[in-house]
Parts: sequence; structure tokens; C-alpha cells
Amino acid sequence: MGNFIFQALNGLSSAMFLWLVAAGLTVAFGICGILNVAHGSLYMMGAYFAFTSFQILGLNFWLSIVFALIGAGIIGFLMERFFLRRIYAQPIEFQLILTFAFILVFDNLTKMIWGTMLIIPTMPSLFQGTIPIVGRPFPIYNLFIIFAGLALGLIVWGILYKTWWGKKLRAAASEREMANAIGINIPTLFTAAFVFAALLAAIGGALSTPVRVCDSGVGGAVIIPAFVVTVIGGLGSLKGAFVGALIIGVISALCTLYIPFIELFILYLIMAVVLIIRPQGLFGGEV
Amino acid sequence: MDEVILRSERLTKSFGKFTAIDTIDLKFKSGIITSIIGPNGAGKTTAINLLTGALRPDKGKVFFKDKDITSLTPDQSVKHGITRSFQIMNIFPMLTVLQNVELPLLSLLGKNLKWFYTVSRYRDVAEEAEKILMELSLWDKRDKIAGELSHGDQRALEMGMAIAPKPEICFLDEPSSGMNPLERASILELIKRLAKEGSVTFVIIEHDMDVIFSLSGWIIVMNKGKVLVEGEPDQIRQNKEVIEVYLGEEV
Amino acid sequence: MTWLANILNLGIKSYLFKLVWLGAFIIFLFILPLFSGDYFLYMIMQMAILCLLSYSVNLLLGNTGLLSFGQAGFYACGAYACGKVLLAGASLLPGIIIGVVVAAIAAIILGFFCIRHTAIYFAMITLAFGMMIFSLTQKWVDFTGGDDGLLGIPRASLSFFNIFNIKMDTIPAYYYFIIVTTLIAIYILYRILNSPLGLIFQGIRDSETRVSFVGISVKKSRLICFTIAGMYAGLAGALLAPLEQTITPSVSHWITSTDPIIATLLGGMYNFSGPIVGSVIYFLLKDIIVRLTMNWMLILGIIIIILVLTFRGGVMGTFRAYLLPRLKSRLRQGAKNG
Repeated sequence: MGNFIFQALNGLSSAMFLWLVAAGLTVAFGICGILNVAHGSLYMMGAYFAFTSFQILGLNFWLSIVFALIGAGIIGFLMERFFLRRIYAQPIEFQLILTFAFILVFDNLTKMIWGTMLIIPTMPSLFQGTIPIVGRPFPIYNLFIIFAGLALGLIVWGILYKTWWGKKLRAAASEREMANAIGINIPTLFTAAFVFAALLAAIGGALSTPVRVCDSGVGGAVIIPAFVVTVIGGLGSLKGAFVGALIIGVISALCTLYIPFIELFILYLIMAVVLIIRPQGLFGGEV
Repeated sequence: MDEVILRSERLTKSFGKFTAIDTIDLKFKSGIITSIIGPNGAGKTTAINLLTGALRPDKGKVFFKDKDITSLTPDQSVKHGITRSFQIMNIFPMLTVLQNVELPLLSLLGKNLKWFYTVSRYRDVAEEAEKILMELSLWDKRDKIAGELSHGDQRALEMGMAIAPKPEICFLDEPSSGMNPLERASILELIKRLAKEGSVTFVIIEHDMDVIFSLSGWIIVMNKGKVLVEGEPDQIRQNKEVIEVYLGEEV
Repeated sequence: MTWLANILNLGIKSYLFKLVWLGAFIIFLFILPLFSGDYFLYMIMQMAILCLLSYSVNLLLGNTGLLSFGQAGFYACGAYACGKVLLAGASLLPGIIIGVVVAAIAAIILGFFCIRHTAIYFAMITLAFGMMIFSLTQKWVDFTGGDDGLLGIPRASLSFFNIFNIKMDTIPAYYYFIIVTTLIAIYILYRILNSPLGLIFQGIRDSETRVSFVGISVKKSRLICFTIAGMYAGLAGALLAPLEQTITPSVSHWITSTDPIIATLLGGMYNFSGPIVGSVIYFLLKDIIVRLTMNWMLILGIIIIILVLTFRGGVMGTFRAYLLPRLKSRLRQGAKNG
């Protein structure tokens, strides 16, 4: 039983990284209508920016996160403003192909800039150490991540549902013409929404550096679980992304403990089953 | 002749809180051209959607010659002999005129799974297609891309696609809309001729009163999702309620 | 040049013109082994396999408008099935045929679930199924050999009972087999797309709702299309097994599904010859770029971005739309002046 709880908590903490990428993915889809296959690469950029500033430039951990946000924000802005904007009207296949091309570009650029340098987990001194949970040492950082994830969740929810900007965003998403008619500048709003989505992924990446190894191939790897989460939660639903991430994170962790060899298979099976019986996921809207 | 070929029983359909069709019992007799008229929003197109399998009713059933066809999909309805044309044009814009007509024939003549020879190799399909296009005066335009035809020609093609599967009953949703008087006249001629040959029973939704009164043997008036009144053209013409509903319209 | 201009002028003759091109191309392929080394033949074989895979993607994308990220799954079915059969001692034809059949069965079963969806959800469910097959190939070690995969697949000889027995050990021998098989397969696809079935596919791409209103079941037709596409991917995989003689799980990864998508995009997804042109160009491009720089992923990515944003019709599309009319008018000018 102790094992179960311990592993479940582990799952919870890794779920938070997943949630941040999935949240960005779902916001980009729900608001801009873009399924960004390269969102995992934004997570990766966040990780690299943070790591570089923390490890190499010796900056404060928190400052390095800010750096990650700035870097990913700029990239997200460039992506949307100059490339994604041009294909909003096109059939969705082109979106998928275009964003896939970005994975190639980002992965390669990362290799070019950082070489084959891996991001090796380096714990900031603030979070070093463990706390005993059910009699076993549980890393403090993982606990921090769980709380950070929840806090970010509340912040994002607050921004989207309680602020004027957030309301504009959601209005533009659901009723484009109406929003246009009352003077909301859709293109700028979409750019802002996409940058917001990119920032979420970047925070995920930045926060992952103390505990996860990262290389230039991470972009393509992270996106798949993120897809699974978004499908389960429902494309476009923030709540869904959160719940989905929790489910997947915990199931993944438990699988690693009890039935390690078919963990991935189970993940994809769940995704396929959800797509078959309830394609809109737990909280998504009409298909 | 004169037997009820298609009927609905207590058909009901709502969209959210809006009841589009409210418990209607429709009857269509074979051999008689029936028109459905009514103001916009009366539910005419929704009724056709329910009768042809495009929509599932919330309540009620549809019977085709005593067979319950309520849950059939559109392609199954077509195979049973029920076709329709569309109010908002629905031809295949990027295919040629000939190809547009060939598609319904493939289904009729059981050729949809043929995969080795070109369509024109199948003589029965080719002959039928030629016959239909000749009737519609579209034969010399058969290699044109359908999306590039004039509006009237497209409407004619649309009708051609509806009658190609040799249906027993064919719903035409505003067949003459957007046509000039010449085109309108020729479409009416065609409908009259086909009806006289006894092969197809037409049910027409129209707004143009001239068309309605010159063609119909029976008129059903709908309003607000219900059948207001139905009867022969002369009766309808003089019916006070109908005139009221169509306030301002020439009857 | 007047004779050339005259040919291009007359519409009927353009059919002959295309036939001449095709004939020259086929003759070229057949005499190639006489003066080219094994490496070049090997590259052409890989192009042929990619070409079949691209036709598989193009069938779904260009004809019914659906992007599948899971064709690699059927590719793997064909490859592993053929590999197992050959390892068990069978000759070449049974191996290939069984590979295609296994892929077809998988396509029918999975297709039943996939075709209910369109656009995004179709892409995602094909991705999910493709990755499920990937995990199977990785983890079902007893059957697939896990990460090491199937090793030492014999390049079995092409035999038919006791009537003939052609050894395939040499590259040129297997080269001819692949070329002939690929050409036949492409020809069959050509017939399909110009047949009633092909017309139905076009109708579905053009206006899906209308198709059911002409009495054709969209679901059934989609399933047929999906199965045919799966069979072509399976054929590609089955041809791969004896060629590489090793099959690893990477053949079923979704990244593998992207090669044919890019090739189709390059060549032109709205033309029948798009996949062939695309596969050839994709291979040559990759070969050249890799020699010049390590950053071929970046260049490839940039090329795709340019294609998607501007030249959506790919090489064939751009050729048809811009270059061919100009060429024709130039030659017509030449004919007038000359």
C-alpha cells in the first residue's frame, strides 16, 4: 500500500509537467484552432533556456524560469505571427504538416546551438533533500512541483475566466464573427493566446530541468503523451487537460511499478478507446 | 395510383428548445404532384430532412409503403426509392457534369465496387447518363466542370441527380429558385412530363405560387412546425387561414 | 522544334506525350542495372518502397481528404509478417502476399474505428493505433524480437512450385522484382482511381454529404479506401523485409509515417504522379543535403514550411499550374516564328 501511495505521488508530480504542455496545446487548439504538433518543442526550448541560464550563466533558479518564458514567448510569437497565421483558413492537414516541420526545425536548431549537450538534472539548493512520506524519502522538489502545478492551474484558470483579457479570448474563440463585430482585434488576440500557450509549455520545460534529462529529441517525445492527455480531457478544455494529465501521470507511474513493459501500449490504448467511444473527451465540446 | 406511398406518424423534431416539427402526420399519394408551402421557418426543409434520413426524429415514425424507414441512413433511403434535391445547391462542384450524373447511377446499377475499368466502359451507366443529360439539355456541356455552370444549369443538374436513381418519390426543395423565367419553364415542363409518365411521384417545396398552382394536384400548407391545412389547389386558394398566413403574398 | 510545339498543341496528343515519357522512364529503369553500381540500384529500391508508402498516404489524403499518421503501422504489419514467413523458410511470393494480407486485415479491423472520424480526430486515432503497433513491436519480444527486431531475413528466391526458381541474392535480381512489383501496383492503383470506385472517392472528397444522397454509403467506401491504402503500405513493408533483411520497431513509429507525407507534399498531392515524383526528389534531396551539411532536418523543415505556405500543390501542382502553360506558349511562339 505504501508503495502504491508513493508511486502515485510520483505520478502526480510528473503529471504536472504533462499538464503544462497539454494545457498549452489545448489553449492553442481551443482558441486559435491550431493543433500544434511542435508544442513539445516549446517545452524543450523552455528547458534549454532555463538550463542555460541556471547552469551556465549561474543565474538564480527563478530568474532562469523568467528567461525561459522570454525565450519561448519570442519563439511562440514568431511562429504564430509569421507562419501559423497564414494557414488558419487552410484544411487542417496543412496545419499538422506545418507544425510538424517546426519540430524538425526546432530540434535541429537546438542541436546546432547547444550541440549534443544534455540537460543533466541539477537541483537548485533550495529544493535539495527529501521528506519522508509513508516512511520513504520523497524528493522535496517533487512536492514543490505538485503545488506549483496546482497553483499554476489556478492562475491560468483565473486569467482565462476572471480577467477581461481572458474573457475576450474565450469570446473570440467561440464566436469569431461576433467578436470581430464588437471590435475585438482577432489576429492580435490569437497571437497573444498562442504566446500564452507557448509560455505554459516553457514553464513545464523549465521546471523539469532539475529532475529530468533533456536532449534535442525531447520535443517529438513529449508531444505524444501530451496528445493523449488532451484527447482524454477533451481538445480545448483546460479542466480536461488537468484531469487528463493527472489520470495519465498516475496510471503511467503505477504501470511502471506493476506492469512496466506495456506502459506505453496502455497509454495509446486509452487514447484510442477514448477517441472511439467519446472523441470529445471528458470535458470537450462538440466534435 | 392514389395509394399512399410515404407517410409520417406523429413526427417530432426539436433543436434545443426550438420545436421545428410538432407531431405531424404527412401523407403523400403516388402519382400526384404534392406541394408543401408555408412561410419561412415553417419547418418544410426539416420535414424533408426527417423523411429522407438526413435527420433522426425525436419522436414518431416514417413509413414507406408500410415499411418503417425511420432509422434509415440517407443512402439506404435512396436505395429504397426516396431521393431529394437541395435548397442550397449540393452538386459536386469539382467533377464534370457527366461525372455528377454517373455517381447516382453507379449506386442504382450496382456498380460501386467495380475497380478496374473506367466508368464509361459500363454501357448501362453510359446510356442512362446520356438519357438524363439529354432530358436536361446538358448533354453538350457534359465535360464542363459542374461548378462553372450557370445557376440555372446547376439547378437542372441537381434535379437530374435526384431523379437518376429512378426513385419512386422525389423531394424537390425549391427547384426553381434563382432561375430566370425561361429556365423555370423548362424545369416545370420536365417535372410535368416525368410525373405524367408515371414513374416518379414529386413532392415540391416552393415559394413561387405560379409554379405551385400550375403543377400541384395536392397542396400541404405548413406553419410553425405543424400542418395548417391540406387539400386541392382550389380549396387552398380560397382558404382564409392560408391567406392570412401569407399576408401580402399574391395567391 | 515545331514538331514538339505541334504535339503540345493538340489535346489528344498530350496523352501520347505522357505515354512517351512513361515509356522512356520504364525503359530507363530496366536498363539501369547494366551500367550502374549496386548502391544506386539500392537507392532506387528504397525510392520504390517509399513511393508505395506515399501512394498509401496520398490515397487517403488526396482522395478522401484525410491525413493518416499511422500508415507506418500497416507498413510494419507487412514487413514483420513477410519477415516471419521468410524466416520460416517460405519463398518470396508467399512472403509478400502474406505481408499484404496481414496489412489488409489490420486495415479492415482498425479502419472500422478510424473512418468514423474526420480531420483532426482521424489524424489522432491513426496516430494512436500506429503507436500501439509500435509498442507491440517493441515489447512483444517473443514474436517480434523486441528492439533488436527480426534479423537475418533471407532474401528468398522467387519460386513457383517446380516451374521456376529465380534467386534473389544479388541486388540487380531483387531490383527487377521490386521494380516490376511496384509498377504493377501503381498501374492497379491507376485503374482503381479511374474506375467507378475512384469516382466515388473523388465524390467523397468533393462533397461528402451529397454522396450519401446519391445512394452510396460513405462509411463503406471510406473503409474500402482505407483498406486499399493499408494494403499498399503493407506491400511496401513486405518488399522492405527481404531488402534490408532486418526489421526493427522503428518502421512502425509515427515519425516513419511522416516520410511519405513529406514526399507526397513535395511531389504534389493532387496529381497521380505526385508520389512518384515526390519520392524521387525526397530521396535525392536527402542524399545531397546530407553530404553537404549535418543539419538536413533543418533544411527539410524549411522546405516543408515553404511548400505548405506557398506551393501547396507540390512539384507537379506548380508544374501544371505555372510552368506547363508557359512552356506551351513558348513553344507555340517558336512554331509561329520558326
